[in-house]
Amino acid sequence: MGSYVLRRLLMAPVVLLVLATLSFFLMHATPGGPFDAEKQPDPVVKQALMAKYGQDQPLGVQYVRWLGQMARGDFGPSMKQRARTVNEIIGHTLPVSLLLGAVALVLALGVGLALGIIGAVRADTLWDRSAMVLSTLGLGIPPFVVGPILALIFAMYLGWLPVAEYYGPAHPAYLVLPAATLAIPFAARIARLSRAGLLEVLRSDHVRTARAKGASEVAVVLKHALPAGMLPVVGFLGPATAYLLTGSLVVEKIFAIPGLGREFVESVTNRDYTLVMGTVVLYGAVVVVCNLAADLLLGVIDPRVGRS
Amino acid sequence: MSTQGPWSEAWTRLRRDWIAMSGLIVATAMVAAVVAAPWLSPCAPTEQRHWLGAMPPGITHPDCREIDALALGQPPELSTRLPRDGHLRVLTETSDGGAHHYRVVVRRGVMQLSEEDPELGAQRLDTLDLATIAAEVEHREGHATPAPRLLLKSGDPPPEGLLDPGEAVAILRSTPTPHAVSIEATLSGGAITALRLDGADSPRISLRGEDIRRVEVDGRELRLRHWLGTDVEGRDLLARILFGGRISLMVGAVATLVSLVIGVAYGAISGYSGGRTDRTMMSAVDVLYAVPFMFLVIILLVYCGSSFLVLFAALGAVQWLTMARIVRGQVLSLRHREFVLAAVSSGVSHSRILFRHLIPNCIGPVIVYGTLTVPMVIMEESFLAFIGLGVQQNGVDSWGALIQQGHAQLTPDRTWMLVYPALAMAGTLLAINCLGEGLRDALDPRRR
Repeated sequence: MGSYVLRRLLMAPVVLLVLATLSFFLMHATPGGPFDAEKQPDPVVKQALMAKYGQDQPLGVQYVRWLGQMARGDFGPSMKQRARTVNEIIGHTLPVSLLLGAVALVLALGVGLALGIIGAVRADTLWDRSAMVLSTLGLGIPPFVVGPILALIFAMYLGWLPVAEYYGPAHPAYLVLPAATLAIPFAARIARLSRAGLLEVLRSDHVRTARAKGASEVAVVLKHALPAGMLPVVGFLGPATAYLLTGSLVVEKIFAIPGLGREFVESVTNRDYTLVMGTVVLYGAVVVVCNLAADLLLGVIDPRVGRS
Repeated sequence: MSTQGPWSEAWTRLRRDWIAMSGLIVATAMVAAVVAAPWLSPCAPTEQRHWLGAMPPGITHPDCREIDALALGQPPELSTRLPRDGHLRVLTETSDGGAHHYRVVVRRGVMQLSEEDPELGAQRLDTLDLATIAAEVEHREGHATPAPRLLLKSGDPPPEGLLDPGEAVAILRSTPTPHAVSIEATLSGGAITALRLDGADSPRISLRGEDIRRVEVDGRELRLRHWLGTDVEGRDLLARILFGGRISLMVGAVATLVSLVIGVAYGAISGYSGGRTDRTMMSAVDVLYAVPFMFLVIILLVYCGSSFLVLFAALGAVQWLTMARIVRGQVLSLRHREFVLAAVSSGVSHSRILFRHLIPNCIGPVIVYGTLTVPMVIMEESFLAFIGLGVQQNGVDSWGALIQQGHAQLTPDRTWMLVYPALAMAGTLLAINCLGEGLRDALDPRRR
């Protein structure tokens, strides 16, 4: 168990370093820079700007300096929004994305587990089939199809919810459609994983023993089978954050939500080096930390994991 | 059953799985439709008709282009469906120019005439012949009366009935009259041999598509129907979906192939080498697994520009990791089987063992995972297209870009531009997914 935790803990910084290095060199290897506007700036001005942002240094020096800054949690100034730092921009937009992601995750867990449990307990019945058809639909139809269609039905035809925009957590109605759009693929995946996991456990010996003892079906499922059956779901929660983040790029664009995802897409088109790299590294860190947390959680729940 | 080979047995199992079979049928139909796009679509996906922007499904109009040219001795530039020989008749209705505004000011008992030109301002006129222009007089009280058919001259007193009592200024507005023209052309050998405009010979006629009311060939009317409506720029949506599907499906297939080649090679080498090499190669995969590649792909596409090559490489490179793990696992389990040991002991080279004995035996899982990768890649490509990083080929957009355009135009009565591309894409993805899962169950019955 100890070596397992150690290995996982050691791998996280390596992953982050690989990501940071890849994004740094990709960014600098490609033509065009942050100071290339449509109107060519005065060479002196450009030189001064390059010097101010350290762009005139050799690439190696820039890289090391940038890594050092990152390690201290400083992503530097934004190169396009000149008056703001990357940290400020992230501080402004990340909470919106986090709230959206959290709501979506809760929604996905609730719906997904419910569908999965129904599927497993009523295996090979109409209930099971419908739950699985729903999850196939949810997995197969991308969010940028689901989002506009949900907006069309619930906002435009029925008028129950607002079409787009976001005005802070005080107006939760604006979050319903985006969160639902974001949640659907996860709910589908969680439904499948929990159905498969639960089915396997329901056939195992300790469940048969519990049944033989005369435990009620509800107690068997909830108390004896569910914890072990949830292992695949817990394992999925790590990678799920990565999907959640990429998904939020699209969802924030569809519903015009001022989160980090939209900021990222804009910074990419603006060639705002520092903002793009800061965002990528931040996203990477979130993914790595969530993967690590899921792995460790899995190790705690299931002692077999560490030993294999 | 036991006399069957494993492949025909899998096929038998697959045929019993109706979900997988309908997936197979839908996916095949989609591929066929996309391949046959030039024959199925009524017109080219890039052909714009600005006066037909955002028209609902089923709209028909005379078969013509935005600008049509007919010239003696040249092939007609009108519809693409004209025969090489025959008699062509085109009816147009033009209203030459906009309305003209004239001003009549009565000062000291005589008229001063001027024309209001939108660009040059008021232009003085000496005479205004109301017999040649159909005009209305706009009176001060707001009502309008037909102008008398008279010749007005500056410096003359105003004629009876032009002005109301007490009025000193009259605005005359000429209403443009629709002007019907019929054009006849004789086609022979693909070129125009005779061209007549309203009965008079004419060497060359240029027509605006929006003026054309009817196109006839040998007495038969040519109309174009847009089954799925048009987009904002008046392009046929069916054609755009079919041609866009070519891009989406091709990206899906090629990027999957890239990931397959990398993944199979990497996994096979890692599994076959074993020991330290295997451990190093697999921890590299573990590290890369945790890297959110989509962000790197976005960076790559923005800075290298969206080209097919970058897209194939980027998406293929993202997808090979799972394939490598699967193949490595397979190779690992096959490595110590008797047939491999037999090959080793008879002195077969490593590469031959890999490519002749090990990889062919992994083909089942590779096919299954490859099939499931195609919709994933299509989805990723469309995701990139949706956020504006898609590839365009000669002005044809992929499905993701079509969905994005439809979403930009979405109002309760303008849904077709979103709904049909979305249906095409969702249907295809679902079909391939169902097929992939059916294949998995068929090739590995223990998993069920």
